[in-house]
Amino acid sequence: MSSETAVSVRGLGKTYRITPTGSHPGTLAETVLARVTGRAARAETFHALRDVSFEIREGTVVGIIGRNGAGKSTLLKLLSRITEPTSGRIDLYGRVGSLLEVGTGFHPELTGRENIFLNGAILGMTRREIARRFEAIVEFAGTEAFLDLPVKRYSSGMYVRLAFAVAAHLEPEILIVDEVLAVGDAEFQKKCVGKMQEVSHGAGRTVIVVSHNLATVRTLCDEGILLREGRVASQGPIRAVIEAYLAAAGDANGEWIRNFPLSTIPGVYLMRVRIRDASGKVRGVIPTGQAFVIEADVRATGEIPGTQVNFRLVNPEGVNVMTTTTADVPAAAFRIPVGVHRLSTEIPGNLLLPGEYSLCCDSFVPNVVGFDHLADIVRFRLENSGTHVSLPNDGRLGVVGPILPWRLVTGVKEND
Amino acid sequence: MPSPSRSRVHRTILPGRGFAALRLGDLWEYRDLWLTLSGRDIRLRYRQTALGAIWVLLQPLTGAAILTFVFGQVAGLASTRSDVPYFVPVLIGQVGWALFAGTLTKMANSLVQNAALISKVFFPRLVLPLSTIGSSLIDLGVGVAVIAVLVTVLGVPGRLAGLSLLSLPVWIALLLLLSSGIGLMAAAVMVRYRDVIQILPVIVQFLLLGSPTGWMLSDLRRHVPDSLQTTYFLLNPVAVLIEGFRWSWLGGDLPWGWAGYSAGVSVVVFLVGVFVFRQQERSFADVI
Repeated sequence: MSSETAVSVRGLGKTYRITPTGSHPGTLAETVLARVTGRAARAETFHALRDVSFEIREGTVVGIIGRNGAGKSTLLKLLSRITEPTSGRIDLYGRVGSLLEVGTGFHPELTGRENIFLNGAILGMTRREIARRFEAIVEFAGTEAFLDLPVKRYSSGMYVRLAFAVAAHLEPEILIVDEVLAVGDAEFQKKCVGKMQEVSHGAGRTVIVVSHNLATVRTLCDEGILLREGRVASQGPIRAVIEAYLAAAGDANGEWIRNFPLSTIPGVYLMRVRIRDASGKVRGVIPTGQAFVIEADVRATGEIPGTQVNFRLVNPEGVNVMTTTTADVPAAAFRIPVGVHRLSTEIPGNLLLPGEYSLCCDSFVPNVVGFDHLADIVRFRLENSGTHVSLPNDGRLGVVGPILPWRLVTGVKEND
Repeated sequence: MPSPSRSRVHRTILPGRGFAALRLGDLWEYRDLWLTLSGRDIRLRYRQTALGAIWVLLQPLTGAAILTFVFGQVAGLASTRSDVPYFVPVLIGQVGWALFAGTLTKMANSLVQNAALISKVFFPRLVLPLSTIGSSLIDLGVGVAVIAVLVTVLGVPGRLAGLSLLSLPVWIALLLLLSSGIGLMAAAVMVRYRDVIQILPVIVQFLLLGSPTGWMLSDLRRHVPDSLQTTYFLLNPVAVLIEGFRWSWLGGDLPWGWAGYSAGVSVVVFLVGVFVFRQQERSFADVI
């Protein structure tokens, strides 16, 4: 593999001006009124990125990780030229293709065939390039039969498959991908990961990925860049970077408090998430034999039917151990009115293996809108309180550790 | 350090500063997107409509019919033109007006309607307003065809008709320049202030009645005192252009001095529009 530089970033910075209320610029009248009355909101400067420098060699797959608000999305937007930096310099050697959202520009009224051409053009392909890859795109998506149907008649799975297929056949030398693997079914996700690996290792292309899914990042990437509060906190082989991330992620005291503004979209947002032990204390260390409680204070800025809040536990290998969701409760019993509320559930004792866990929380309306996607916000440890006996060799293999009652019936006849 | 021997594209991204260059090269590079988006707009307009493309024909015809009734019959202006049925000059005015108003409205809305694209993909932002022109030109083409048929069938006895028709592309170009200039400015402002969505239809409606679509510029020149006429022509540069569009078919009088003024205004407004657009462009993704 060549070791020439594909991307070089030096002293990159991006600041946004935000008003203290965090609100939208507002209407013309509001602005004029504020100017006239002298009550113009003093705009504050928010440093999304400061002095970020790194080099990416040709043919590597680089994962950018970091907590919410660390500047990952801003960095991708700068690399893909959607927005301009405030300071610093980026040098890109090769054609850049970016995929910040699957299906950008898909139009529901147009047919699958028309959308392939439209989406391809939006992603920067020429008509000739799209025509040449048309067959391959359709085959990858597996939607031959529906090519001349408007995509508004597609199932959401088909829609995503077609959208990803177009993007996967984009053949830039540098591919920038944001969180696209969060969609689609498991089998299709595997296909996408395979395609991306083929792109990087087979064709020697450079791929830059942002994902909250540490397991994906670990399997896909060779190298990683960890961002923290807009700066590069660590960079190097992906394993080391993920370890650095997990070591600093979440608060070991079992509590997380929101420190960045809510989106302006009306919805349900997480304000504070805590882990409580059996006695009700907020703690970062829980004995394995006891149940514990996940408690989340949410603020609903709108009553949106179909909203669900998911809580996912991830182990240090980046494996998703379990997900629990409010969608398991009948929808009628789970309408979240406007205001501040407390959600909680109990995780039984002796269910999980002893070890470190981090909690990820998402609030969204499936296939409609996402409110919060918070990765690794609370970190806690399940301490073996003598419930899990140690086993020889590799220890107790697995991702869960239920303690189950084994029975012994003595003196059974053979072949019975 | 980058080795000069490599054949790959090398692009440097630096903070934008000073006057944004026009970067016409970028526009050329993205010509396929431009064409595909134009095609999308044209296809989408008539999808799931029962009459489909017939609407392109019906819209100017019904519009002209209503204006003919209101101005020709109700206001009694029909008698001022004895050479052709009143419907003909009104239809011509209507087609010229539709080119102006259609281009302006579609361009102004093009950014906000494609907000998702702007915040997720890079491309020269001028592609969006430019891709609306295709759909405006189709309307114009159909309108011009209808006018040509009518004028031929009725055998308009235009004194200059044959020769003046050569000026048609000039009027079309001027109408496009003026409407694009305003449209580009409105689009750029709308990204920040959605108020423009509310104001724009009012202005367009106001201009429709204030421009010689249902009536002729000669009516104005006959009934309105000279000083007021000056104010009128100064404030409404569209008026002479629409009358010029009509003149190229039917001949007659045209205030040439004011036509020159409007042509100048059109070019200046267009250049200012492009300039404002490019100045605002770099922050579109951050505020849209």
